Amino acid sequence: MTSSNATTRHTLIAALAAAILPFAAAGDALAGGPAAKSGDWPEYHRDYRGWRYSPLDQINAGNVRKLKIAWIHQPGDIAQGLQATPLAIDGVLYYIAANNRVFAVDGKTGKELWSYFTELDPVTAKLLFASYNRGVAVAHGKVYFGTLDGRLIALDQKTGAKAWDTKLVDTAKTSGSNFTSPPTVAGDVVIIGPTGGDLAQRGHIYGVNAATGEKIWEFETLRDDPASWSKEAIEHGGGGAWMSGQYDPENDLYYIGTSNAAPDFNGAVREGDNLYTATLLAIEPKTGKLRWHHQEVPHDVWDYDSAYETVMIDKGGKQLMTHLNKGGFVTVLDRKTGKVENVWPFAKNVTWVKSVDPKTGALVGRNEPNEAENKTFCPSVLGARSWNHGAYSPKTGLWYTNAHEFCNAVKVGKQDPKAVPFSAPYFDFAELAFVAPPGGKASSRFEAIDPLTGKTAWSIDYALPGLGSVLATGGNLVFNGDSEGLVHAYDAKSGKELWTFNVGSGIRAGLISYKAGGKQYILVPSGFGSLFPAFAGGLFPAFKQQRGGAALIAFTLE
Amino acid sequence: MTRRFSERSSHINSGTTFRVVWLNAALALAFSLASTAAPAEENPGKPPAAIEGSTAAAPGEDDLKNPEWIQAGKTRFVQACAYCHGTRGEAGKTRSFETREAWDPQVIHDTIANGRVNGPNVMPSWSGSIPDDMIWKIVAYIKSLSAGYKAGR
Repeated sequence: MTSSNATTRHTLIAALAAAILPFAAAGDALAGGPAAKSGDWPEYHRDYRGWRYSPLDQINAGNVRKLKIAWIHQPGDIAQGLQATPLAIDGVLYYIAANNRVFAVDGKTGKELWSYFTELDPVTAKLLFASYNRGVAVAHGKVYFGTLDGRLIALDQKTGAKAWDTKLVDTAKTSGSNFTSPPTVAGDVVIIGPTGGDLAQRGHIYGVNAATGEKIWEFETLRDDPASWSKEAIEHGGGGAWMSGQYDPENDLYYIGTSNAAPDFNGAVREGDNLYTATLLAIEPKTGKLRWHHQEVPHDVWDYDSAYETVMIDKGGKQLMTHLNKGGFVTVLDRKTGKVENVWPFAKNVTWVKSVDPKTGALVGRNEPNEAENKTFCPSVLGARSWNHGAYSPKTGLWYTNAHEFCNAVKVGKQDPKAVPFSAPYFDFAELAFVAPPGGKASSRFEAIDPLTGKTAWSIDYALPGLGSVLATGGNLVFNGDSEGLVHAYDAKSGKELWTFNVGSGIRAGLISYKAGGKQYILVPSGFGSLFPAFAGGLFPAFKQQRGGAALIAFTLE
Repeated sequence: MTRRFSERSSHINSGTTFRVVWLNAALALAFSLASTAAPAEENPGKPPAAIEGSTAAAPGEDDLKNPEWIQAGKTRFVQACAYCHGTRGEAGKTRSFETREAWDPQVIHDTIANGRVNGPNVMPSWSGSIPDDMIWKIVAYIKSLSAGYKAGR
């Protein structure tokens, strides 16, 4: 290459950089969607990439100690605590509390702008998946949420008046299947999946017209194919998709991980690969057509849903996504094609499989439960982490997440699916107990990891499993609320604790950051509840000492 | 101006869940504090509403000690209750069932039948989902768990 060519190329690169940089700088603003502003938290994970990262940096390592409470909003119902991630748009917060109470709150003052209390069908008194909801979606001037009795409702964003109400799931006829997570807006389509991986029913994912509420499509999470299911088993095969999916506008794809197959532990009554349970799906939102899928746990017999978030990272010219399965492995995939790029072990105690092939994702050396003996499997049905999401900071390249190490001892016991009581899980166990890892003790930690390789940057021991979703900020801070009600701020690089505050009740919700009136806020939805602490209350007796509550607490600098 | 909306449709329950709908912030605070202040151990499962589906008379003490009842109740308890409460009632959000030697069988039955909302803790109503005679067998199993509590200390 001649020097003149080199100069030309250099000039060209400079020109390109000049053209791209303003776009890159605006990238943070664009990240949350078409018109997201840096001070907003417009969707569940703030942006579709699952980062839970706010670029705001007014609050940083130098001043985080000066955080003070600005205001508190209380929803007035503490059943199952407060589990939602609030949204923030133009200084207004939108959130959902127990029993589908929806609120709009002024981000500066905490003043309630409107509320909508859903009147629920009495069937909701009979549900295992009761009271809680993880969030709303806001778009097209509407606030969308799924209900405990199987409906998708749209409210007017300004007034809280109901715009439409569409029944999608007959909760009374599906063993208690309903909606507990926010829908995802993909252009003009609102997409939502129901609970029911553990229920004797047949789950679907629904695409709905965002303007009218008309159902456009249904996707069968149990593939109607003899290679996957027998005719008998598919009717009670579970499935569904109980967490929120993520819409990637660039690829026009909706990504969602599905639930486990039912009966959870008894594979003998459902031979086949049991697609599409425990599977990552890439669905075209306009049609509901499947573009690609990757089944993380073929013929799952451990209750290892694929329900958790994906974290989307572009590296080496590839558009990647990483995904933690309840079984304790993180799969890295090409999100355009679904091709597996890597698999790394997140859990330290894994006994259900010898390994997972990092090139293909294939399970090697399965260790399955059976009817003859009580066997211990690590992780337990509560996963290597619960559903509470991690956060990713583009400044450090690290993923911040809670984790825990414990197992369950299981003996299979066959049940007649038709005799399973309404809303009771179709687990098919004769014995189930949560136990410490063999030869070790149950433990919990909060850690910073390279999401593509699994390399740990730092790790902090916690007394109880952390059940809140993490927040990372442009101020190089990471916020994590623990199960004892302490909110911690850590230096994102070193893990050094810089600030802590006792909010009086544990965190099961999602912390966010937003800007209102020129000031950055850290918003902590406090209030312990949910099923996890009950399940694990035998192994972690301190869970029984944690008090419930529900309060939205806003912190800002004085 | 605060605006509030609520549904007005025909299938709506007019029961307990919505009595607190219109509470103002101060009342909500008081409610919240009151709910969290009561230790769960001191409030052993008083049912919130009239008993539904419990027309059968309470069985006698002999039935509740019948090993066949206890075994049948255990099988159902393990399938339908143990994921929250633990196989021997050691998990959940209250003290272990093994320590509850004075628990009134009728209270246990009514709690299973009607469910219970106690502050943050929510247990579904099993009335109509589990037959009443089976609920009594579950009661027999739960009672059996604390039979050796004092003797074993």
